[in-house]
Amino acid sequence: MVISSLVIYCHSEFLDYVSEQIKTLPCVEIVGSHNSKFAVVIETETTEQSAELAEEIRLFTGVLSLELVTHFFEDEVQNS
Amino acid sequence: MENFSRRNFLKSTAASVAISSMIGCEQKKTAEPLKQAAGGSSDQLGLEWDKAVCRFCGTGCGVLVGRKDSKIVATKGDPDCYSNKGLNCIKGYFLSKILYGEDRLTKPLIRKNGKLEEATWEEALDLIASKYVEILKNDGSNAVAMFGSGQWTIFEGYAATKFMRSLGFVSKDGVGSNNIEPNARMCMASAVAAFMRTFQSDEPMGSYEDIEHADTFVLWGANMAEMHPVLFSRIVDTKIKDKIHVKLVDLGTQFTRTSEEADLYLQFKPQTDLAIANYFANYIVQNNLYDKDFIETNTVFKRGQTNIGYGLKDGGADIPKDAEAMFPMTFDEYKAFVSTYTLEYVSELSGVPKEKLEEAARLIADPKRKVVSFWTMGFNQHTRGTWVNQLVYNIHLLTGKISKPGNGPFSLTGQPSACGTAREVGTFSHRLPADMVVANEEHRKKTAEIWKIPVEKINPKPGLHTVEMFRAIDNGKIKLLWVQVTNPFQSMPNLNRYRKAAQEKDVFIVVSDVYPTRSTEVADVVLPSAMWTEKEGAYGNAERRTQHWNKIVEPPGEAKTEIWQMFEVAKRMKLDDGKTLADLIYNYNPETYYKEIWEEYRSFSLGIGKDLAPYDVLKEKHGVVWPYVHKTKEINTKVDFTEVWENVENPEGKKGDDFISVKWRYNAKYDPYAAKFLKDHPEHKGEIAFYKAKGNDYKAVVLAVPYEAAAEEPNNEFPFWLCTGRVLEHWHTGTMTMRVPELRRAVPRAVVNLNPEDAKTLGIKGGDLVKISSKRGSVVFPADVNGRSIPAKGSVFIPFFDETRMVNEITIDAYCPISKEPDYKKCAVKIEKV
Repeated sequence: MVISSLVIYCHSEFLDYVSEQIKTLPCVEIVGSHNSKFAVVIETETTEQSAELAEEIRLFTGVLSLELVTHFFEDEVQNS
Repeated sequence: MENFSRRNFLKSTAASVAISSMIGCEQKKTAEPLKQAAGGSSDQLGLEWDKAVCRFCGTGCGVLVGRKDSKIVATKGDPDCYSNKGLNCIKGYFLSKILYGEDRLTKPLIRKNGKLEEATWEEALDLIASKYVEILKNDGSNAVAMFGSGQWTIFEGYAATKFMRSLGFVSKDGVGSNNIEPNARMCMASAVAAFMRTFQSDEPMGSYEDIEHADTFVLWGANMAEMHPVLFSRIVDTKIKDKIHVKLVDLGTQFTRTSEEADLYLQFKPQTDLAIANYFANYIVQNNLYDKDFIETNTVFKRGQTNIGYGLKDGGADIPKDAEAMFPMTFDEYKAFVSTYTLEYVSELSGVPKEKLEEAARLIADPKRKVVSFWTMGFNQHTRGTWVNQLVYNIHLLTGKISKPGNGPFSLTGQPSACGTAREVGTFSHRLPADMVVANEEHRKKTAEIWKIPVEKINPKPGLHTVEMFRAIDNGKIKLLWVQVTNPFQSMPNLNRYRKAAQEKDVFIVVSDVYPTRSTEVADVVLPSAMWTEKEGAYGNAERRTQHWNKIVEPPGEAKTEIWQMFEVAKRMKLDDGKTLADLIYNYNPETYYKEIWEEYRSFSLGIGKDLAPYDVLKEKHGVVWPYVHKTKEINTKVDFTEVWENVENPEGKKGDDFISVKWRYNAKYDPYAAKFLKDHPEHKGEIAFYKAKGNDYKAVVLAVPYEAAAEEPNNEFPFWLCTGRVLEHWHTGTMTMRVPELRRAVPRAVVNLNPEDAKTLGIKGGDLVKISSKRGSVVFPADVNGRSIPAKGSVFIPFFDETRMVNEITIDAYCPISKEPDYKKCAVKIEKV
């Protein structure tokens, strides 16, 4: 179990579109929005899956940038 | 059930912290479960949290590190660090994984019969010390060298510079060695030289907070979206708040992720940034958009020496002796000089359409706009790097848009402590701590006094800068090289020459590192090092913020810190009186030596506008910006600020504090030194005072220098420009990021980015193997035709992280004759399909 959270910066006119696109992704949950930004939580098995989802979001039309806030990867370390 | 609760708790924590960061409020107010104190504290998840700073680029993002048992299991952006306000870039996913690569070096290695074999620390240290003594006794201090980096912690860099410059106690010539360099010479030396020539004080005057105050961002060859993502997100956030008014101007030689978001993209031909900057100055002057009062009070006009060479001949034989000279000129003469940089001429030369040049000039010169200029390697790695840095200062000085919130020139850095260690400690061959230089007798005296050694032991002659240091290995003059925390035998330009020299010449090479690299490959001794949070450390970032961290986890195997390694070698260097070199230079208490080193180093900085925070403050706070000025003379040693103290704002503290962290240097509203200067110089008008520029009557230099061609330009045989750099996934020479399986899988090998039109003409498709050749060699890369960055027609881009295909085998070792920084961005190559 890897849990991370991110902030996503968007063009204001694409907010609805980006929101809809994020909702199509498994393991990603929008937990808040504010001033053309979304806060999301990603829950995956591995860090790699989480990072790939983050990159997928970054490539959505209307996404300007995206930054990581928290990253919990305890199970991954203990299983390695 | 327990797992379910823990999962829910983690998710709710992650959500609340992300929401706090998004809104920009204090995270700790909503993220109580992660509340932690410096020095570590446990949370409800059983994690021990402590503060640290990211190991990668020069942004210097604060990171909170969560440890369980003996391993790091969580990280998060530090909300209490002003540099990143709780955000980390995507590389943060893999930050702690750099510790856990499978091939960490855990034992010393000594080359025997051509092979590196495991050895004890005693054997390795005895061998290194004996080689030092032998070479110093036979050949003198100029025969030894040390090559470190902007990834050295401040403690390490300080211990290293003291070690090298004190070798006179052992050497036959009785003076220390100034042959110490950081790889920062290849990274931001041009920024240093330009700051010193313009303001007589190194490092930016502003703060990252300028991003929230500015409305016009001018990026010169800086792909911030990928290389400084957290800062780019702050720009994006500013744009989101006022998307009509806020403008992002991107000037570059290739279209990048940054260009995608720009309001105005100016693609220019390599090297013509010199002409474009002069055009902007011309536009400002011709249209009377300069700040007359500001330039009268705060600037002096000079013309630089021209035709200054390229450092292509050993010893800089092609560089005129007066290459650094600047001669007085009047404003009218300056006006006449820039008048030749007309819109028509510069558009023709640079390839930038006239309307785009004019639109950019209009934005930059508009008196109502607040302008921040950012740049990194595009300017610094440039055979006229010092000039082009100064040409941007010209723009800010002419318009008075400097040292004010939202206004200023801001050179970013690529390494985490390029500023803190390389620049502030002074690990360059000509420098001493706090902007001092070895050639200045007063500076040597002050250094000797603090180090408690005879001044005669400090060598007054600057040592060899990086390119000449490696040429000296090839020329048989350097017999011993100790490399720490970097990988020059992958990162040097014109690499074939220097790798061959390392392998064939009579030189003893020691490499301290954490993984096997292309530099350990040529070493005689390899020392396994502790990295990042495996040791106590401090870095200094590009906004003058010093950030301390504690040791959080144990290093693997027998790995040791570089400080311990230097102490142990110095202990083995016996002097005639029975003492050791360590007795003289590292006479610290084993229990408290980090604090003692810091306070000794800090004493260089006090009272001169470079004031660093005390060790105990750094331990507690999540980064402290210097100058960290104390109100009274008793503490800062020189100046009493009491009479101006109440008039100076303290954005990172509160009114009434005895210390002020200066966010905008030279501005009396924020900088006690400037306030005191204005109080003592009532004839000086305005709120800005370049109080460090004593040699120019406290004025900054506006410099007239021309466009001059690059050292090597495309021709019939080699018709393309080659530019090198980084990719998002990998950092520097990939020694850390290539150990992270996820990053290695994402970008396993370097490719050559081609312009689609060029690829079509050459019949090259994505994935084809192509041979890229220069005068210096050939390397084969797969082609990428529609990559995330698209070079201009006639140009190719290749990253340098890949140790299996080293692009530096074909780059040129030409350098800026003033800063001595090599140009990794421009040489001529040909492309052949294999």
